[in-house]
Amino acid sequence: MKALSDCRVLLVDDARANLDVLVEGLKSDYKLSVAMNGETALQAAERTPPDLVLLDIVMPGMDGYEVCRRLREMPGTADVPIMFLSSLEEVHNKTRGFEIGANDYLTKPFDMLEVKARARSLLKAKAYNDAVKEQIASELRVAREIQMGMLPHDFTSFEAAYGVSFGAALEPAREVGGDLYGVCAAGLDRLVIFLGDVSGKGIPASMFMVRAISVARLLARELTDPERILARLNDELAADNPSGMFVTFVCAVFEPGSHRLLLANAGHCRPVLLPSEGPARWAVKNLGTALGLEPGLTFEQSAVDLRPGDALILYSDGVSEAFNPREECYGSERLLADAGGLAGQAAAGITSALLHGIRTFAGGAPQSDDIAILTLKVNAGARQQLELRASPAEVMRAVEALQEFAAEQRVPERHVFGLSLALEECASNIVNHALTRDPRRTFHVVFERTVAAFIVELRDDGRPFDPTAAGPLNARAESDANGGWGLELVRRHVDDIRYRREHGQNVLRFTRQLVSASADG
Amino acid sequence: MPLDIQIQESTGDHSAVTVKLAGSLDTATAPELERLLAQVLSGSTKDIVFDLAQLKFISSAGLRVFSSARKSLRERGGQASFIRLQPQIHEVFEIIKALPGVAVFRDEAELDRYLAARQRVHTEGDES
Repeated sequence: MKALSDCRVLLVDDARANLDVLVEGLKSDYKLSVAMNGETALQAAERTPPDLVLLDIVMPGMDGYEVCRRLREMPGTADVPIMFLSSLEEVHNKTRGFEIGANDYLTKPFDMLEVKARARSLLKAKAYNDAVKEQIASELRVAREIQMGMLPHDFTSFEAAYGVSFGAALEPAREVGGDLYGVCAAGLDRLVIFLGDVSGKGIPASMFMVRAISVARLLARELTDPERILARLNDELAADNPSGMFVTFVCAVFEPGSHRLLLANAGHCRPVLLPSEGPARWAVKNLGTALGLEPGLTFEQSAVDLRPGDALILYSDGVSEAFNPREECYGSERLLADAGGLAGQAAAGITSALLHGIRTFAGGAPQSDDIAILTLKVNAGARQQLELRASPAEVMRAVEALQEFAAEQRVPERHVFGLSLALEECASNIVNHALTRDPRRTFHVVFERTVAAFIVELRDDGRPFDPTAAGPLNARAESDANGGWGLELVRRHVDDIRYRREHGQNVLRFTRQLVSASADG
Repeated sequence: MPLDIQIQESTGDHSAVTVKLAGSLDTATAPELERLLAQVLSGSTKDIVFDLAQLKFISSAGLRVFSSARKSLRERGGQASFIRLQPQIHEVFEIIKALPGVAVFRDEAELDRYLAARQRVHTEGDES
């Protein structure tokens, strides 16, 4: 708390004699500023906001009432204690002073001891008030950090493992809020995402948010279906909920191997499905009941396809119910239309473009509700093609190109060695056998990264050569006369390899799964 | 990725040649290793220790070079030892590690213990 001796008192009076008395009486206790008219007083208060103002009323020019009114409008002095010191002693003068915002009123002639006692009392009250405000503000800052820390920020591990990308934003209307979202890996083949909105705002909503997000994260790892996650979460929240709060909540489970997205909704605004082609639409039909109100509820579950290039947008009603200064609502139809224009963008771009659109719409109107957006986008497949001459050095150039492509496509490191090895072996076979190391001849390699797999296809127009025709390797073979080691290494590092002869070409295609459990080795 | 090959005649007790490999032993780089090993094998070397700590990549082309080297060494009563294999190299080695004349060790200490034990067996054999 600020020491009283550090407090500054602004003295305003047009009579020099009055000012002299006040300065003499207060100078040993406080820092002082003095002004002999209203305008100077306001300037002084703006330059160095005082902790207390002693204000005369009858002054030439701006009178004390007007000075008081203006001080209350300035942010730096809106809460500063103001005491009128006036020769006006009618009750209506005094009541007017209090109505305008004064904290005290003393009539002239005054006793300096009384001025000092009242000044001290007002300053102590202000210091206490300031300390409480500062404590609450600092606690809210920490609470906000804790709350933000409960949300996922770094999605890179999910993005690499599941062939998806995320874009997330959360902006509480106050320091803390009730919106929440989460992403949980549930094995290599299921990704759980959710977004919720607790009723109300501020501290109570944020406390319930912490409870909801903690339980949701546990359940997401344990249960496979969104409807069961919602049912259990509802029971947990309803079981002990004396304040009667609730949370609207939408939960989705994405299975990258099958491109299937399961959804269940508990009273939340409907997520937007944004296909790579075609207009945006609602991902679920029904709203369902919010969580925490009544135990034993069941929830509907629906399934949609989420293909490469498709996106799912979860958001809170701070988005759809943003208002502009003309009291118009952003609305879900506008959201659907705006989202439809973002189909080509990455997940982070979709989220930030929507946020920007809402802010532009709101046009500076204060944010009335917490805003949360979580976009999930399935990465579109990527391809790269190379033409190479039939030499060992070119084989290794292909391997290096694969490694660069894999790094760009964020293929997890553990797959890259096996893919490099399989390419080296297959391409060496082509160079050495099908093309007989004739550097004038060429072969083609295509890399393809889909959500769930990495595919390499090799084509050459050499003599028919099927490397997969070799029998299984004799584990104790002492030599590698027939090239069996190379094929064995390929088989150990890919999930599938096929050969075909097509239009006078050898076509060899191998696949390594990136998300199924079988690719773990 | 190129292959860096360092060949050191050992000054220790075991008179082995140490070959340190760094980088990628593949279809493009295997012939150079094969050529340098042929020079080493033209002498009387019985044992070669391959230090693979810095070897990042190996394919069957590399395995073939190792296999033919261990064949020559075995014919003169020696062997090819391999130390400090990175995990992915170890996996590829599964194919040749059971061959006679191939011995894989975690590090120098494990190799030294093995060689010392073999030395004892030989010495005891001479005495009997």
